[in-house]
Amino acid sequence: MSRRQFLQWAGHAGLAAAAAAGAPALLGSCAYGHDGPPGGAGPSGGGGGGSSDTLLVGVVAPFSGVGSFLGDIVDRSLDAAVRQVNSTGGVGGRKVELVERDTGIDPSAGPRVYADLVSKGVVGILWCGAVGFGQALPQVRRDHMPLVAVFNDPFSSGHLYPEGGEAGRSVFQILLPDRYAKTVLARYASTDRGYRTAAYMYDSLLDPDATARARFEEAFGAAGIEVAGVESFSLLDSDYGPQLQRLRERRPHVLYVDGLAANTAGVVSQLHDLGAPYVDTPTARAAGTGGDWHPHVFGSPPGSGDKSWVELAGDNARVGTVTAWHLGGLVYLPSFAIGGWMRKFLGREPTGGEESAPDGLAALLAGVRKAGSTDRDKVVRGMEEAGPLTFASLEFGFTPERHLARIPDEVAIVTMERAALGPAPTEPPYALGREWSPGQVFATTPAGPTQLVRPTLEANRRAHPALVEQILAEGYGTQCTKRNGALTPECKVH
Amino acid sequence: MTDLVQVIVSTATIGSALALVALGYSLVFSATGIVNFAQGPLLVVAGYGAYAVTRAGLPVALALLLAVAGTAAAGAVVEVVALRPLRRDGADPAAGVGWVLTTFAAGLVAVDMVRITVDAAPHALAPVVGSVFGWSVWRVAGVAVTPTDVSIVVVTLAAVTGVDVAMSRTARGRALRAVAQDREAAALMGVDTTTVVTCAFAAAGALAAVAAVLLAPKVFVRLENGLLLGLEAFVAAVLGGLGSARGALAGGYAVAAVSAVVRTLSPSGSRYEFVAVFALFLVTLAVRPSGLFGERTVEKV
Repeated sequence: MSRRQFLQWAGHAGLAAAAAAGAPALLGSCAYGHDGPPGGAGPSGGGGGGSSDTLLVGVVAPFSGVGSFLGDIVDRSLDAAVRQVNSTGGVGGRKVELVERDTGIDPSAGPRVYADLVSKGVVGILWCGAVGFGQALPQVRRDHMPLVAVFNDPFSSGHLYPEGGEAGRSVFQILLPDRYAKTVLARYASTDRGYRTAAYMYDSLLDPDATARARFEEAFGAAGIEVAGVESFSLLDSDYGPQLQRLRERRPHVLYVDGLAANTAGVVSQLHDLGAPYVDTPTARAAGTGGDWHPHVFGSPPGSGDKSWVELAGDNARVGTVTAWHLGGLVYLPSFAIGGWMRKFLGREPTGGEESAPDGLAALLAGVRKAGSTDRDKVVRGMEEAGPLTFASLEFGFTPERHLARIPDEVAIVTMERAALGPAPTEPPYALGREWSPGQVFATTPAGPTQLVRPTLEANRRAHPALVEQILAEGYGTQCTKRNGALTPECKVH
Repeated sequence: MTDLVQVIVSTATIGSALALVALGYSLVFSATGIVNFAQGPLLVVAGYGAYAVTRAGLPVALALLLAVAGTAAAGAVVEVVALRPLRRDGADPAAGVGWVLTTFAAGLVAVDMVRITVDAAPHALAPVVGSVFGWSVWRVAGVAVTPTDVSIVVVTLAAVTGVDVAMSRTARGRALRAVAQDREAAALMGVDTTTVVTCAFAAAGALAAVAAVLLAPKVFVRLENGLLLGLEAFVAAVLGGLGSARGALAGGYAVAAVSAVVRTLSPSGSRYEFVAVFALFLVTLAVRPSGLFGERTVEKV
């Protein structure tokens, strides 16, 4: 999941890349003399899509640079998905072929890469967390190019159709929006944990306009939580001492770290060194009444959604650190196909985030099937009218009024559990989910994500009743399940 | 008081690591008159190399030794592939700009090799010195000081002193400076100039490895470390005066101090960190173009 990375921020990464790219970016951009597409199709353009026996799909991802681990996930998950599609006859008898392009860490490469894909005749594009999305968007709109934002978040920044305007109608989004994540986490902090103050640490290099910060203040304010401090760091920082010293004076109950895995790990490690690690909810709350400061760390989905931050922080990573994710991202559930495809075609397990790009591909191909053509406008209408889809993980779909795959009721809260250390002591006790059992996916790993069912149980059940019943019945990720199987509000207090 | 101590601790630890890398830049510059832009990527090679060793179950101390040896070798390879071809027919690489591209390209290749052979994810390394007689963290005015912090400072001071002494008082050090001043004359005096230059690149690689492994508990092993630490260390080296060990130390601490002060002064400080560092850089160069400790070269006509 962390892999879906700076994705949410990727569209804002101009400053980061400008600072980080340096000469390679300059050299890269100098290799191309123009930003516009060479002979790109005009408005309501025509189709292309490859030869008569192949259907070309463009993929833009960070295959190099800071986010290349995300590119690796995109590459292998789409590899498995395309093999699956082609092994079942392709699309109307045409084999699907990917055309992968990399923008590295250079936002200005977005328009160039887009133009290159247009010149190859792709039927549509999956934009998978690569920078340059915002820069390429005007051309995408001009060309009406079907595009799925797999790991980019135009919804949260107000750029997704319909909020973003008719011109962007060809853009669809798979990624769980940051807006939804922060709303659910704020509600959890207030209602389930009784926290009243929170502080926010964010990456000013990746969020130069502070749009994610504004979403934090809006969400936590709406939940009745006072924002006790806002601190910034840069993507590449490793020393959070000055920021944590300031926050210690304000003693917020919650510390929300909006960064990547290394940032979350760095902050919790330095909290430990300061003698302020998270202990449990009562201790976190006691800071407001004269107790020592031990904030409950909330992480962003990219920074705390998978086990990598735990591996970086080692023993300093405390069980109970939470973030938000979506039900379809629980790729270890046996009913989700992506795990089986990866084992079948690649001989490997998914690590998190592998469902997203294949589901984006499925949406695009469904549009082509529905349209019976590769004409861009027809494909866009096809994607809107294809109805519910079930491909790599959970059922999803788009409509003419909704270009976002996720809905608020699909958001689940995820925490990290430590297999190597055994279940953390809690009162009352809870049982680790079945995925930790011998032979299951997390049994051999030191840490992994586990879904906290109860805080979002009713919402999740409304959205996907059959799946939630399966999770409860089979015990996947149910840290709120007491040993007798009942779910109680007080579970997972530790 | 807490703020002051925090600035001192942040400056000492991060500044020391920058100084080690900056010292590598300086060594290569001393021997060749060029800047090795692969120095930052060598941090990545060292970090991921050490991680691969610990992943195999070997202790981190051994990983440090192997990383030093391996990255020294990688540094020598950079010299062979990126610089030596530019010296064909007795040409002076420093007279052109080809070395900018070749050393930069060598760095890019090195990072991509790491990505392909190890992976691209960040990793943790255990501290080389985890605790000393049971001491694992000391809090001074509420600011944490760990054995890792102390070890970085001590090793850096030792390395800078050692290089400084070696450069001024040993035959090899004098040979290195002689090669930088006049390669042809040094060769006529019996100095094996090729070996001297290769050794400078290797030593720079070794210093990068020490910085990468010692600092890993704080910054982790990340692909982007090469870019950030490499760039900041380059600024530190130029600020202190390329070619000067003491300058590398002063430059490292100056860059780290500016960052720490800016972040201590304001919650939004990180927004202005780079601006402040580069402002200091520009002002210093405007006043002292050769850097704080750089030697002014006078061309006699």
